[in-house]
Amino acid sequence: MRVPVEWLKEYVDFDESTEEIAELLTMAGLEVGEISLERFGFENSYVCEVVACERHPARDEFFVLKVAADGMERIVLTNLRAYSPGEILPIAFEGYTFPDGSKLEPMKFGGVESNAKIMSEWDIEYSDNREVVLPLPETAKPGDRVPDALGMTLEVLVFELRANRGDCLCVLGVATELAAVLNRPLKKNVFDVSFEEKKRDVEFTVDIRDADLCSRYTGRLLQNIVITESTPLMKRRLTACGMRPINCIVDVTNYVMLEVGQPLHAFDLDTLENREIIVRRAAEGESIVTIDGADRALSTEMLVIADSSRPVAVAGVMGGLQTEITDATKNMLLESAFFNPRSIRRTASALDMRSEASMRFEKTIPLDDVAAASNYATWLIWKNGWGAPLSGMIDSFPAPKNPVSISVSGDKIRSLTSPDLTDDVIADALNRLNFSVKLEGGEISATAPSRRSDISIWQDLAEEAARIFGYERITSELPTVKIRRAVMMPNLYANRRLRELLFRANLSEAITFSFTRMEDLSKIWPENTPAAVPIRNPLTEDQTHLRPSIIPNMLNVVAHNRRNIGDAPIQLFELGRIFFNPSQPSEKDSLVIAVSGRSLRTPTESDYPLPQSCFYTLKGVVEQFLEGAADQKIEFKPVSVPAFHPHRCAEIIFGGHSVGVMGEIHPEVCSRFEIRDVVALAEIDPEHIKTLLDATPRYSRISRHPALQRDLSIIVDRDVPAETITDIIRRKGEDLLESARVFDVFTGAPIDGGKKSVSFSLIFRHPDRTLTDALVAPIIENVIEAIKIEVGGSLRDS
Amino acid sequence: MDQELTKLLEDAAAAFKAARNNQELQDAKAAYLGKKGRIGEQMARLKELPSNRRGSFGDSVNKVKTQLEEVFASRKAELDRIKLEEKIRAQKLDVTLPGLRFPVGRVHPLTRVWNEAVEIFMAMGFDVVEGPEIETEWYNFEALNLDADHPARDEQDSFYITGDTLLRTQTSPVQIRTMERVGKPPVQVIAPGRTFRRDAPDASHSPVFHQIEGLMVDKGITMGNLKAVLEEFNREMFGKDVRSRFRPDFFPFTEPSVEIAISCFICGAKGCPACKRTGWIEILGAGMMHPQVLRNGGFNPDEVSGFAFGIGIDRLALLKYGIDDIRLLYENDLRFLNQF
Repeated sequence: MRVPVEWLKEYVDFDESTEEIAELLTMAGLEVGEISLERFGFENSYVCEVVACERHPARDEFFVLKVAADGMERIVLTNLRAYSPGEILPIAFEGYTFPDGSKLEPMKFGGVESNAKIMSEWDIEYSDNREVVLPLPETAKPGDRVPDALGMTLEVLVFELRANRGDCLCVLGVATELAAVLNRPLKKNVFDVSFEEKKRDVEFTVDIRDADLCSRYTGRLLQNIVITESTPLMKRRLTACGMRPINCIVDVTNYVMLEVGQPLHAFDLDTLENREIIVRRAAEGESIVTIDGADRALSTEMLVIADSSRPVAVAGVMGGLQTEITDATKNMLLESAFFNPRSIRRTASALDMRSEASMRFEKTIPLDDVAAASNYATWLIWKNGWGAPLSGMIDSFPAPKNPVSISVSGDKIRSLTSPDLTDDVIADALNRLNFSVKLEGGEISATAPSRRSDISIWQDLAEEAARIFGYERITSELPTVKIRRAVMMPNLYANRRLRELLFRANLSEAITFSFTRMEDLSKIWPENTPAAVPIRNPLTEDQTHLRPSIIPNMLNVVAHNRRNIGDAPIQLFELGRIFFNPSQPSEKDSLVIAVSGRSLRTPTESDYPLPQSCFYTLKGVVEQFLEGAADQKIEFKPVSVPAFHPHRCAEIIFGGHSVGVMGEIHPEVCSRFEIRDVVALAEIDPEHIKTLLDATPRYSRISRHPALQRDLSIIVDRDVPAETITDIIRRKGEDLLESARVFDVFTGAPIDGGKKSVSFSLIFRHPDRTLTDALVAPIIENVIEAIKIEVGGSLRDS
Repeated sequence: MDQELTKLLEDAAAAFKAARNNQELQDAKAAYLGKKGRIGEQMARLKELPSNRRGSFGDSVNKVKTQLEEVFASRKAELDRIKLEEKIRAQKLDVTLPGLRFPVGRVHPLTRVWNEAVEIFMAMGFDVVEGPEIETEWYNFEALNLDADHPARDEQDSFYITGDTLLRTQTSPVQIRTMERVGKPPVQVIAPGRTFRRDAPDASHSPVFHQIEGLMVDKGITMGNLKAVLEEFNREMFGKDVRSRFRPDFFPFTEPSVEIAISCFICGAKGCPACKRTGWIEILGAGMMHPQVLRNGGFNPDEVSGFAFGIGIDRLALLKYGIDDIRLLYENDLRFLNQF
């Protein structure tokens, strides 16, 4: 919404700068996004200073001027007179557009090239005189643009209006607000007009068939229409507001709309059949060619203006081509009406035709001013001699609306806003906004001006009072409450704790969209692709479904990073919602951990030559994470799960519950995501872990006696899991075994081909006394014996 | 002491001192102090001596032995020290080589501001709650006064799942859910969470983003309260010197409605590209809860009032960390994540 400042000044007196006005209106709720300067073309014209003047070498009556502005120099030829250096002139530069549409181009005359010209009054459409030099005011300085120097620049407030303030989509609405903010009167009543009417001798009828979509329809007939250009003032203001001047009649309708907010439409009366207007829903199969030339099919929910045989306008949206005002128009019908905002919105959106008119109707125009706006437009046409109004406006008003009156106590308004808003402050604010206000014993009764259709409940009065008083002036006061401990919902708290544990396990957090696409899912799970909840209206082809797993997004994140950071380590997690069960969509949290890239050898692992695989890095991370979560047994069982490497995959069992799987992603899957490196992923259902969080730890006594360490290297078949041997050691180690840990795995010569050597470090300790070799030796023998019997292992010769 | 013993003492001391390493020292020790060493030989002489001289000679030999042991010990300590020094010299490290590092877990900037905001509000007594991401039209729109014709309900703007379920476009549905759950005043909660709008991604729009909804309902909650709470939040989040600006706005679910901006903390409100040269940065929308919304949550607007607000978490992160493109938050480039 654009409002020229000069137009506002017709309504409200102010000396404040435009910036100050913009700030005041903004702080009252009418946001001014920018102050724009309208120059109405006249590009490439500058105030210049004469630098030199010489007589033309070949043509005596001409002078060659050198002129300059802001470092730009031009050569001008003139036969008017000789100029002295230092004189100031308006100069059109190459590219300047003249009123007839032609452009200034460099030319050669008598061997002298010129590229600019002194401007005449005609050049800016000031008069028809092409010989008189355009006079400049004293204040003009070299370098100024000519329109700026002439004060032809219009300052325009560009509003970013909120949806509820349809009343401010016009100069009058903004002026009313400004008057209230400045606490000054509105100078002008635009609707106070009178004009001569000729007696109407023609019949004309208006029939509103669908009154639910049209609360009021007025028609005014005018004859002796003269189609010409409108006034320079109208054209200037229309242009400043972003509308194109067309002809006097169309310009009047637009001008009135911009000034008072009522969209109007002018029909060529002689093109209407049977001199009648019917306001009705479109019939099945009807269509209309609108003034933009498009043939538009109408649906039966759309409201049309029709004559006896056909639609002549899409009500409130756009007029029809066949009935529009043309140069030949002699008689016209001026329509001013109120259409149902919802219906207009739907129609405009269905036809993809948002016009200045529909935009206003959608936001509810002032119902009571429908006829007054028509009279104002009629007056403008009459006053300018563009047509003669006929008496008897047809005003069909089936649904008048009572003014909204609200009674509320000042206390109530204060209990919602602030004690600052005394009864007097409230009454004053509402008065300034043209409410009619009665204040009696603390009770405020206010009737809203009919233009303010957004007012309906007492809270609206509170807002009006607060914003005119000024939100900034309302005293801030922290609420007084009984002390209570703030708590976090258990699930949110648990997620926060899990994140902390994941960060502590050296994982960084990834956050991806909740979307995926079936193609990504079938890249991972070509068979038994999981069902995903489809989005009915996806934005893009790669976001067609809600993710049933975080794995696809995580693989894409790994692929992205691999392209950028070489083989540096990637250790990421995402904890977020996944969605399942398309028939009854549900959501829950899921956790995915990804490890890839050069594995890091930590000091404690420096003598721990594990087979090169991110698997063990991931396993360590998962163990650290779970150990932090709760003091529960962590087990890993080999499993084969789709998408994972069949021999590098394990089920994660925590406290006896299966909580997820981890392993290397199958190389085929990796290559489908264009990842050439090994990626290990864990997918964990965090729900069970959440129930175990934050158990209070219990201290168990630590022995003060020295430990006895024994290392054992066992030779065993390669397929025997290390954990099986560790279990045997633990079982046979009895109470004295404090811990048993694998520290080396070795294959190759001199170990037999199908075998491996697994080295364990065993720590024995007695709670109450120092252990001796004699006590431990038989235990170790038992261990070795059991290993031999249960898994066929033997002690490696040292 | 006879001359032989004196000579022995001198020889031995010289031999010990001459030893250049432990082995030579041990050899020398064996030659003098060992069983078949020179001291031993002297002890053997005892038998040949007349019995009256045996005592004094024995004392002398023992004295020499003791003295020799001291010389040996001091030489040994000396050699040990030399050896350690050599070893330490050999252990010289190039301290400029890179250290072995664990990849430290980095907190995502969204989680960082999320946690920070949650802490500020919890310290002011706000409970922290959450709601589903798949919502019904009732909770997401209707209960919040957004009727079927409201422009925000344009299907173009929301991701629909089934007939009347969609991905929530705001965290505001948690207002209604919380009022229903709590049932009676006071209600004082924030609800951080993920939200969705069908916006084509660009530097400042993302179809997935995050919000914090805030809500306080009780007897006599005022706009003055709203101002004080949010001023406090803005100062905690952006710095003690940050000022808050309140001006009218419009939301269907609040009346009166407020738009809140903070003085630009980057330029000190002088005007810079971050604040579009205005000195102010719009940061959140708020207002006094609309009576119909209170009613929809089961509260009587004649008895209680409340304020509500919505903060964009993504926007907070962009502002706070000077990130110029919202898409970076969801790309998860480690070069980005490692900066937090």
